[in-house]
Amino acid sequence: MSDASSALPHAPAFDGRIRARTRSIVDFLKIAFESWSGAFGISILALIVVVAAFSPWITPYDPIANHFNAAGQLKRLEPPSAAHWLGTTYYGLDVLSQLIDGSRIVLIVGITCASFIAIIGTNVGLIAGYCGGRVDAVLMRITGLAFGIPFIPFAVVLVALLGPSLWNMILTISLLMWRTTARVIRSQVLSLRERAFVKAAKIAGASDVRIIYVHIFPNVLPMTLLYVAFDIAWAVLAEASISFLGFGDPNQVSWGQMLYLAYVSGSIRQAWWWTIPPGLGLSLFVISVFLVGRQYEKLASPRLR
Amino acid sequence: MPLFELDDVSIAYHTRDSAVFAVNRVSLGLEAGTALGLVGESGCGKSTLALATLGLLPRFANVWHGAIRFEGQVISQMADADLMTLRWRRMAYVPQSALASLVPVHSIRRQFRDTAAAHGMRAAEADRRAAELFRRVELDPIVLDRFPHELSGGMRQRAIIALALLFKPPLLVADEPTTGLDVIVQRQIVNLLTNLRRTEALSLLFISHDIGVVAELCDRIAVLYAGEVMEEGPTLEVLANPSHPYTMGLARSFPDVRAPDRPLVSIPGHPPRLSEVSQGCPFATRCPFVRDLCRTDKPRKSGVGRDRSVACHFADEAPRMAEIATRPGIWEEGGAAA
Amino acid sequence: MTSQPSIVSFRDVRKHFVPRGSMFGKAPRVRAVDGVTFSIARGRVLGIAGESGSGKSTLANLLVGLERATSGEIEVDGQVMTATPDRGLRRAVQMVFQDPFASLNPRFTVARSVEEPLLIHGLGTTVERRTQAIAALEKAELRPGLAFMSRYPHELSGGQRQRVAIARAVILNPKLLVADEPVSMLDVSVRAGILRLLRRLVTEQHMAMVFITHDLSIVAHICDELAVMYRGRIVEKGPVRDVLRTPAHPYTQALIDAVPIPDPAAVVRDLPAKLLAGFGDAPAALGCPFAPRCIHAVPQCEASDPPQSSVAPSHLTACIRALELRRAAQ
Repeated sequence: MSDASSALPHAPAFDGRIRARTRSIVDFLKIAFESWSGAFGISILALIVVVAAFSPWITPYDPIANHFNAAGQLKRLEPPSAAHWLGTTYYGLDVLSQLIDGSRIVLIVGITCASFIAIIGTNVGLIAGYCGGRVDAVLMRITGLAFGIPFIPFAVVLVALLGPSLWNMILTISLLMWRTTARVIRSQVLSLRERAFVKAAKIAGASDVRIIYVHIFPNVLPMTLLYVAFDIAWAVLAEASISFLGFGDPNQVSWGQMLYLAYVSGSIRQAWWWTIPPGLGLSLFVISVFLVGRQYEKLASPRLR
Repeated sequence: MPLFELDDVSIAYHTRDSAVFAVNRVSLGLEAGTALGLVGESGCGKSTLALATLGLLPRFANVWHGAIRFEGQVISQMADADLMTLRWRRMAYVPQSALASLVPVHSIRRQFRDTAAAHGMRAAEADRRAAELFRRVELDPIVLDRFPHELSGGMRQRAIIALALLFKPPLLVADEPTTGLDVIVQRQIVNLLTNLRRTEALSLLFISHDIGVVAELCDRIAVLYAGEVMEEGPTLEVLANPSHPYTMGLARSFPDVRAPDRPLVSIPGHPPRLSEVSQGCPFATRCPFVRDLCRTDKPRKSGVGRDRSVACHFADEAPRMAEIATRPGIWEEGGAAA
Repeated sequence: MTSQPSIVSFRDVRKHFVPRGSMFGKAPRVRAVDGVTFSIARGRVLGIAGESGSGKSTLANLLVGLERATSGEIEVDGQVMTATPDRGLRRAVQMVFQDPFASLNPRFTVARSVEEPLLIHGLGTTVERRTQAIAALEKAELRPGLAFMSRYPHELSGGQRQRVAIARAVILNPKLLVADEPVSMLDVSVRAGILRLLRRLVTEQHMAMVFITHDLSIVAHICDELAVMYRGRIVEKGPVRDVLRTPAHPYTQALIDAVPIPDPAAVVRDLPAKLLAGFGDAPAALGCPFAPRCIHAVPQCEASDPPQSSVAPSHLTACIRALELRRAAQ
């Protein structure tokens, strides 16, 4: 008969899943909250998204309206006050309204560019990695070219040729920044295509196109999405850089443009209320994207050995 | 006093919210000059035990309960610095994949020297020992200056064995050293280990899923299932007259090339996952002789004859069960779940 | 040998690889498959046994049309296998792989994986495909099939994954199934079940099977005929029990002697030193590839390629001394 003392110290139940499977949005978000950095990151991102979505309704003033004081003079470079929480710019515009309005660009540029980059980069990576041979060589040459071209001079030239508009900026950013995604996806595909399930699909009669998009693509999708996250941050920084150099869209309020105007008007040293908010905004955005991205990156490696 | 001993050892892997037991209250002893074979399938805990003997468990695992003793000393709670004096000098490890444990960018000679230096041997002495050991494992000393990828699987494995014997340790822990090798190369390694046991007075803890290899090499065998010892004793006796239903089934799952007409058995179901904790005997779900008691109570270890033990509620009915177990029909199940 | 027409036939098939990046001078071609001839009828299982470097993997690739033969003829189901097999051939030949986990797409459910061949060939409606998939799973002894449909590979055990792979392979009713070491990565206690399943399917589906393995001990439990390969050539071929009990080729004998015996009381024969040395050397262009390691080799062995000779009905071997050694042993 069995001995009661041979019973084990009670091991708590283990749910048996080594890798968290994200089947629902809730699970997806829960992962971000697993660490302080992730929670911080996603909170900031959520804040920016909400602000950008509701910006037309929450700006205290029209972002491009000039403000005059009682004497009829332009309220230039006023420090923060009750009427203007973040003060005014050199041109008498309310900084807070500009800040809120500028968040829209962050999202628009970020998401649009990241989507284009994902589409171009993933497809290049898939096709180059799977086909190999000459196709691979040609595509990698093009990718190498994209790596070789320096971003700012290229952007400057393109904007000078096509004119400074939001779409031209998105185009410029997307035309170059797919290169990293392409390389990363390609190396994943190189190892995936040797796996037995790809062989099995081939033997069953699947065409190459089917194998690439139906069999291999779902397996590189997590990596694509991860890079999409980082690309959002890079795209936003790229836009800010172009705008800061004065090549941005003059009709759009953006954080980079705010910094540009502060610089150009000579007030960059004194008007801290004008420069710190957009600068901080950009920094926080990029940091948050990286923090959240890092949390999801941990998904790629198994937790238990 | 046994050279090496596992005394009621349980090893746990810790995840964020819980712990999983890979090894559950295992007690085994290895006398000096003998070879003990640990046999089992996936999830039985044999590799975990191998790592634990040398203190190589990963950070998130530990010996939760019980003690591992070597030459009388408790090593399971020893600090790493103290363990270093024992590793390689007194206990050596031969892993499954030689390619994974050799540094790919260093020559074999360099690895001998590095290992030697880490444990206090000078380079000149290391070179001398290396040449001597290579002769012992039937490798041309010229191979010392080659790189791991230039060697075949069998040669790498022999090089690793030579490296393990650098300090003439009394105990060698070998974790599936022949798995994945061609059959002729495997035969070479098995013969080599048999010879080394004789000439170097080596004790061997040999871990494998292959009963055939264990049968040739080891004096004693311990059959593990789901982290627990099902049966243990002299190899000859345990395989000829198994006392545990799992051993009965497992032994009949191994085909014998010399007896091709002997029917092969397949135990329905599959070895449990680490996360599946059972109240009673872990083999209850697959045992053809299972009764209600098996599912609720864990069987206690009981002795069989002089130096054997088995963990089964109905061990005294073993001869009858063994006879029934020879009929292949008893192991079948309509609609296998495995 | 058999009066049934063969569904697969290989005639003097060779596959040579030229190593890439060979600079000046001629790099020796790797003769992965070097003159292989055999045929299989429906309902029969041919075992191909060999170690690493024997060419069995290349042979598998040739059988399923993933590689093109350098020379020789491959015929499956009456059609010649070309570099780009057409749809018909793709349906006729299927494969089961060694690693059950790697052979299933980790992002596909079991249902999706098993239905994929039907989708590729545009067969059946959504409902019909689902029904056929469930039927295939149950044929592979995964019951109830419905319960497995929505599972993912990582939720299944090794044996279950292999059964899913088998269900996928037979859903198109292939005429030839190539099984490449299908049980070597499975726990021993589940191997026999898979072997029995494969054997049963061969009979029920009336298909031929090529069973590739390095483990001689399981061949008797599933194969009718056994061919032993060494360095790209078939050195012995015959009914499985004949080959195992009375091997005619010295290499086959060495393989059998090398297998560990699960009986501790048995006496182990030592392997000759000549066999163990000389491993890994590139084979000579002419002569028996095994000669450098063979204890029975004579100068004639290295002078010319040994022809296939018969030592018993249907039992062939490529060894010029086979009959002589057999008589001497009796």
